[in-house]
Amino acid sequence: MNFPYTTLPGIPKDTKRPLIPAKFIYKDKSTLPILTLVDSGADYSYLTMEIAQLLEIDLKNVKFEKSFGINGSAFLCYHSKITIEIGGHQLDIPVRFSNQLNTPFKCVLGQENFFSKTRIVFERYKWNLDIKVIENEK
Amino acid sequence: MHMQTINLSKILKNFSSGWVAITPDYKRVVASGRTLKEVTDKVLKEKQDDVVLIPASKNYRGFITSAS
Repeated sequence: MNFPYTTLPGIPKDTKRPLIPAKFIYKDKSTLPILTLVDSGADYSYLTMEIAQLLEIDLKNVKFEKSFGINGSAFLCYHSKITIEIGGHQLDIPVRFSNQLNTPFKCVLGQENFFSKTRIVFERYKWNLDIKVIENEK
Repeated sequence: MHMQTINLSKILKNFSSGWVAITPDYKRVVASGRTLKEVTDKVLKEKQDDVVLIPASKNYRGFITSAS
């Protein structure tokens, strides 16, 4: 699957990012497709807590964990598992929900159990992201 | 050969926070809202749910993996 990079507003100039439309699914509930950052520098996948609320994921009994930004600052998150749908393919992945994501991107797909279930080629030289699901498809 | 990027810089220019719903051809904003639930409810109510959502920001630069 080929996904062209997305040009977004930036200061002082626009920026191009590898975003893909992904649906987030939990039990019988699903989000609409959300443009999601594919981030090879992120250890885990992070989603805004708004998605957990929308999908009615019960995190009451989930102990919070700390994650750390590149500057070492900690933020709290809650571990869960959901299904993502990309280009008609569904994958179960672990995610960390947080309401402390200090980034314009509220949905980030990172390494753990996403990059290991897909072949991802960042073809930035031609502004294309190539993703192939290779295992554990639902 | 360069792929043509999806250019959202113009249509997102007037949004600094919240969420925006865009047509699948990325040409038109269908709805916006303060929260994900608000914008989702809006498009479902208007039966305009063939959309793609994105969190709005004035500046998408400067994230961990900052691009040039």
